[in-house]
Amino acid sequence: MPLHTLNIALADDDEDDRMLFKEAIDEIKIKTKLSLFNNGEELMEHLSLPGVVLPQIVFLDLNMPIKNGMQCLHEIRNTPCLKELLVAIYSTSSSEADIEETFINGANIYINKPNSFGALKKAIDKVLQLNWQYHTSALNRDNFLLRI
Amino acid sequence: MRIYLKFDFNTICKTVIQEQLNAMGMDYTIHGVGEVEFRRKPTQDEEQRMEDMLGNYGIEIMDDHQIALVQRVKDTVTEWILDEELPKRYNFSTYLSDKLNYTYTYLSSIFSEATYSSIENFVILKKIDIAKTFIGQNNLTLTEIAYKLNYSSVAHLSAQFKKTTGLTPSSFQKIIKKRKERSLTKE
Amino acid sequence: MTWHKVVSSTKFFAILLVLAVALLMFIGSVSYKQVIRLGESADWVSQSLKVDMEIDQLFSYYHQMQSVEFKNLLLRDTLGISSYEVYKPQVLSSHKKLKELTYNNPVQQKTLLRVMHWQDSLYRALATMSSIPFQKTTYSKSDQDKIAKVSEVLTQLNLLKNQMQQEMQLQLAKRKDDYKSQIFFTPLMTLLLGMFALIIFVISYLQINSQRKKTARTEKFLQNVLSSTENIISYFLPIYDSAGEIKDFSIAFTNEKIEQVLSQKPDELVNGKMSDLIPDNFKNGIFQELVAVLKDKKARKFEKPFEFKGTTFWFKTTAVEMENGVLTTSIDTTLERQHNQNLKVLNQQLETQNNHLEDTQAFLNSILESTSNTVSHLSTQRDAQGQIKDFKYLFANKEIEKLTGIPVAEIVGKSISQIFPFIKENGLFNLMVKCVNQKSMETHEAKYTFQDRQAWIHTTINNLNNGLTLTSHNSTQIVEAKQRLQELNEQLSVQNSILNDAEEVAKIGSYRWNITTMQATMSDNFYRLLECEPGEFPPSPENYRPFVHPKDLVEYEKNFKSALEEKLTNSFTYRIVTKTGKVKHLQNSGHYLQNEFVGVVKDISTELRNEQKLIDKNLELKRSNKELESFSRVASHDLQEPLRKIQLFISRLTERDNSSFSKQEEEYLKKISSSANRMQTLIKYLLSYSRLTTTKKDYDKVNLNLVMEKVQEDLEAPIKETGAQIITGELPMVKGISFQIEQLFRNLISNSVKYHSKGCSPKILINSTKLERGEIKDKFRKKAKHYFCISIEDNGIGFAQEDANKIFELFQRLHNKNQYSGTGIGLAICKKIIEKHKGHIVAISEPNKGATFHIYLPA
Repeated sequence: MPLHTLNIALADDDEDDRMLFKEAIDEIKIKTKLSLFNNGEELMEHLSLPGVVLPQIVFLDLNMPIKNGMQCLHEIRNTPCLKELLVAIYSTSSSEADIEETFINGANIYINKPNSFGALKKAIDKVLQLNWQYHTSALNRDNFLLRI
Repeated sequence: MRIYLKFDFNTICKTVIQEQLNAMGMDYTIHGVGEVEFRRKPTQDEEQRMEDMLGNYGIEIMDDHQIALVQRVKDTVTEWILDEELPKRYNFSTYLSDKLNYTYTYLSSIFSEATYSSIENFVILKKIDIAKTFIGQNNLTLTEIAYKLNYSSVAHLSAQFKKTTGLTPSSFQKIIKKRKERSLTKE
Repeated sequence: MTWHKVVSSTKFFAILLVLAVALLMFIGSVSYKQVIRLGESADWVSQSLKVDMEIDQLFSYYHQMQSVEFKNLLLRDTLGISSYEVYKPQVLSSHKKLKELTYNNPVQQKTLLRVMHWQDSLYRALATMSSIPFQKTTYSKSDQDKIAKVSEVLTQLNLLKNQMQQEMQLQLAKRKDDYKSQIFFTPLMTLLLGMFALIIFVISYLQINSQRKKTARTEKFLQNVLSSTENIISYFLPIYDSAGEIKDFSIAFTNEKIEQVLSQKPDELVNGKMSDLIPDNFKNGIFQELVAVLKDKKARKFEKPFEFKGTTFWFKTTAVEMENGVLTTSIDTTLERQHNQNLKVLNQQLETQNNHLEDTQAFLNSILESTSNTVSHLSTQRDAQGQIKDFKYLFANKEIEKLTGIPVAEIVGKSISQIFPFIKENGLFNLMVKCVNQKSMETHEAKYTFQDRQAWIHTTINNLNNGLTLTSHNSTQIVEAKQRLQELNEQLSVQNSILNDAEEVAKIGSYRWNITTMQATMSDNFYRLLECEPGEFPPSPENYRPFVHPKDLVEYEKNFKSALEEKLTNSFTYRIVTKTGKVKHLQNSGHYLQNEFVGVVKDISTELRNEQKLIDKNLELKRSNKELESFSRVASHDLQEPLRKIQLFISRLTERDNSSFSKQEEEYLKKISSSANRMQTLIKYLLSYSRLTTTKKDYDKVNLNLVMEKVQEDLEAPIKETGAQIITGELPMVKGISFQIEQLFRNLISNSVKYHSKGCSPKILINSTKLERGEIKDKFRKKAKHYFCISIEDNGIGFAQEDANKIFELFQRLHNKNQYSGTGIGLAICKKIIEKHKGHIVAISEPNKGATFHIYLPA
C-alpha cells in the first residue's frame, strides 16, 4: 500500500450523502484524506487555489446548485493542470443517456448512489482499489472507465 | 494534429534504466523487468542519486523485497497475457512459480497482502485493460480480441468486461469513439 | 483569229503591198546588176574583136614587111624605097594597141612579150636579107639561109599569132557561156517577179478600194444612224487643269438629237465647254462618271436625272473611252421611267388583287378540304310526260364513301333511287323534285342507316342547270349535342337548386358583379347570411357596403378598390353586421372573369371560434407538457432522494455488526425498506415511461441477438434464482432505439421469469419470423411492407384472454401485490416502446397455460 495517504474530494449538496460518504470512507482500510464541498463552485475554487495539494479522485454529484457536476467535469477536463484527475460521478440519476454523456465528457467512474451503506462502501472500495491498480500497475489511464 | 502511439512499457523502462545506470557508471545486470542486480552494494550516496534520477521517469526503487516480488508478478502477468503461445502451453500458476522460483501459494499471499487483491483479479484487470486498448484502436473485432486474449468465447469476454468495468464492450467502444470525435471537433 | 479574218483585214493588204514594193525594188536591183554585167560582156566581146583585129593587123604587118623585102629582093629594088622600115612605126603602134587591149590578160601579155622578141628577130633577119645582093639565078647558100631565117621567124610569129588567137577564142567561148546563162535567166526572173508584183498590186488595190468603199458606206450609215437615232451621241474631250486633273470637258461631237434637250443645234455646241453648256452634269454625277471612264478605261453605264429649264429628264448613258476622249450614248428614259412607275403601281394592284384571290381560294380550299360534306351532282331523268321519275349521279366526292360506305365508282352513273331507295319514303326525293321544278333551295334532315350504322344526315339541295347539287353532312353529333344540351340544361337547373341548398348548409353566399354593365347578383343565401330575405334589397356594392363592420370598412374598401383596379381579387376576411346586429366573419374569395367579378363569401365565424379554441388548447397542452417535464425532473431526483435516504439509513442501522434490535424491530425495518424499495421502482418505471419521447436521430440498427445477451446478463440474478431456461432462436436486426428495445425485452423476459408457475422452473422460447403485411392477421396500422414477428413464449401462470388488452394499460395489475411484485407499468412501457417503433404487440394466453407475446416490428 502507498505510504502516503490518498487525497479524495467529494462535491455534493446533500448533507446526508456527504456524511454517509465520509463514514463509508472512514470504514475502509485504505488511508485517505477526504475533503468535502457543498457544491461544484466550492470544489472548483479549492482546486484552483495556488499550491493546493490536488486530490487523486474527485467525486462529483451531478445535480448541484450553483455549479453542477457536469460543468465541473467540463472545467476539470479543460484545465491543463487538472486534466489528469480521476473523476468519479456520484449521482442518483440512472438514465443511460446521462451516464453515457458523462463518460464522453471525460468522467472515469460513474456511481449510482446506492440504496445501502454496504453497497456504498463496496463501491468506494472498488474505486479506490482500481485507482490503486491503475496507479501501481502499468494500466492505461485513458481507458479507465467504471460503472457501479 | 493528433497521432496515436503504440508502445511497449517494458522496453521503455529497460532503456531508461540502462541509460541512467550507465551514466552513473554502475556495474549491474538487469533481471527481467523490475529487478537490477549490482556487483557491489551501492553506497548510500549512490542509492540516493539513483532514486532521484530514476524518479524523474516515475521509476521507484523499492527497498522492500516483497514489493519487488509483487512487481515481478505483475510483469509476468503482462508478459503471459501478451504472449499468444504461453497460455496455450502452460498453466498460469505453474508458469508464474517456475518463472519466479516461488510457490504459487506464497506469491499469492504476498500479492494479496500488498495489493488487497488477488493475482487472479489482477490477471482479469490486466486482460480487460488490454482488451480496452484493442477496442479503442478499433481495428480488431471482439471475436479476434477474445481469441487473442485467450477467452473461450466473446460472451465470456463481454461478461468479464461488463463485470470489471460496469460497461459492455460496445458501449465502451461507443464512448471512446465519441470522446475522440469530440476532442477532434474541439481542435 | 480565223484565217479568213486575217485575209480580209486591211492591215493584211498593207503588209502585202509593202512586200510587193520590196520585191520590186529587189527585182530592180537585180535587173540593174544584170544589165551592168551584160554591158560588161558586150564591151568585153568588142574588145576581144579589137584584139583579134589588132593581132591580125600586127601579123599582117609582119607579113607585109617580109613580102616587101622579098619583093625588093626579087625586083632588085635596091633603092630601097619600099623597105620594111616603112612598116616599123605601124607595127609599134599596133603592138602598143595590143598591149593596151590585153592589159588584163596576163597570158596575152606574156605572148606579146614573146611576139616582141620574135619581132626583133624578124627585124634582124629582114635587115640581113635586105643586104643580100641581087642574083639572077641562084643565091648563095648564105643568102638562102638569110631568106630562110626570115621565113622561120615569120613561122614563129604565126605560131604566136595562132596562140594569141586561140587564147582569144578560149576567152570568148567562156564569155559566151556566161553571157548565154545571164541572158537567159535574168529576163525570166524579172518578168516573173514583175508579174507577181503586179498581181499583188492589183489585188491590193482591189481590196483597198473595196475597203474604202465599205468605209465610205459605213460612214454614211453611221451618219444616218447618228442623225436618225433617238440616242444622243456625243464625244467629249477632257480639259486638264495644271495639276493634270480633269476639270472640264469640251464637246467634240454631238448629234442632232441634242437639240431636243438643249435646244441648240449641234454645230453651235461643238467646241463648247460642258461647264458652260450643261452645268447640271457637275451636280448629277455625270461629270464624275465620265472622269471615271477616262481613268479606268472601262465602259460605264449609268442613269441620271438631268434638269434643264425646269424639266427633269432621265438619261441612261453608256460612256466609253475612245481616243483619249469619252463617247457617250444617252437614251432619254424619262418616258420609260414614267411607264415603269405606272407599271409598278399596276403591278402592285395586280399583286394585291392576286393575294386577295389567293386568300379567297385558300379559304375556299380549306373549307372544301376541311369540310366533311358530301357533295354530289345529279341530273334529272324524266319520263315521256316530262315528269321527273328519278335522278342520276353525275358526280360524287370521296366523302360519300365515308358517309355511306359505298365506293364512289359504284355510285356515279347510277340512279339515286337505286342506291338509296329509302329516300322516297323519308321525303328527300320529293324535296329534290320540288327543288328542280320550283328552282328553289331546300334542306332536309333525317336519320339514315348505312351498313348497320345510324347517322343523322343533313342535306342541302340546290338546283343547278336542270340538275341538282346535294350537299350532305353527318349531323349526328350536332343532333346528339342538341339533345345533350337539353339534358344538361335540365341538370343545370337541378344543380342550381342543389347549389342553393348547399350554400345554405355550408354557410356560403355567392355573388357576381359585371363591371361594364354594373349589374350585380347575389345568391339567396348571401341575403340569408345578412339575415335578410332573398332579394330584399337590389344587389349592388353600394347597397351591400352598409353591412360591412365599421372597423373593417377601411380594409374592405382597400381590397374592393384594388380588385377594381387590378381586376383580380385576393382572398380576404372581414366582418359584417347583420340586419339583427349579429357580427359575422366572412371570408371572401373571388376572381375576375370576363368583365365580371365572381366570388364566394363564407361565414367562418364558427371556424374562427374553433380555431381560437384549438390554439388555446394547444397552449394548454404545451404548458402541461412542460409541467410534466418538470415533474419528471423532480421525480427523477427529488422524489427518489428521500426514498434512497430512508433505505440508506435503514441499511446503516441493520448492517451494523453489533445490531441491538429485537427480531420484530428488525422485521419492521425490513418492511420499511421494502416499501421504500417499491416506491423507488415505481418512480423509476414511471420515469422511464414518461421519458419515451424520442427523436428520429436516436434510431439505429439494433441486433436483437445482442440485446437478448444483454438482457440475460442484466437479469442474471432472477434467472439463476428461478433456474429459468431461455432458448433463443436466430433473431434479426431491427431499426430502433437500442436502450428502448433492451428495456422492451428486459420487461418481457423479466415478466416471464417473474410470473412462473409454482413448482416448475420457467422456460422461455424466443423466435422470429419475417412476414409480409398481408400475412399478419392482427389488426394495426401496417405501413411497412414486411414485419418481423418476434414471439416470446413462456410456461408461466398466464392470464385470461379477455384480460389480454388490459395488461398493457398503465397501473393495471392482474394479481395482488402479495402474490407477485409488480408495478403495473412494465407492459405499458413495452406497448409504448413498440408503438414508438411503429410496431404492435399482442398477448395470447390462458390461465396456467403460459403466455405468448407477439411483437411486430417493421422489417
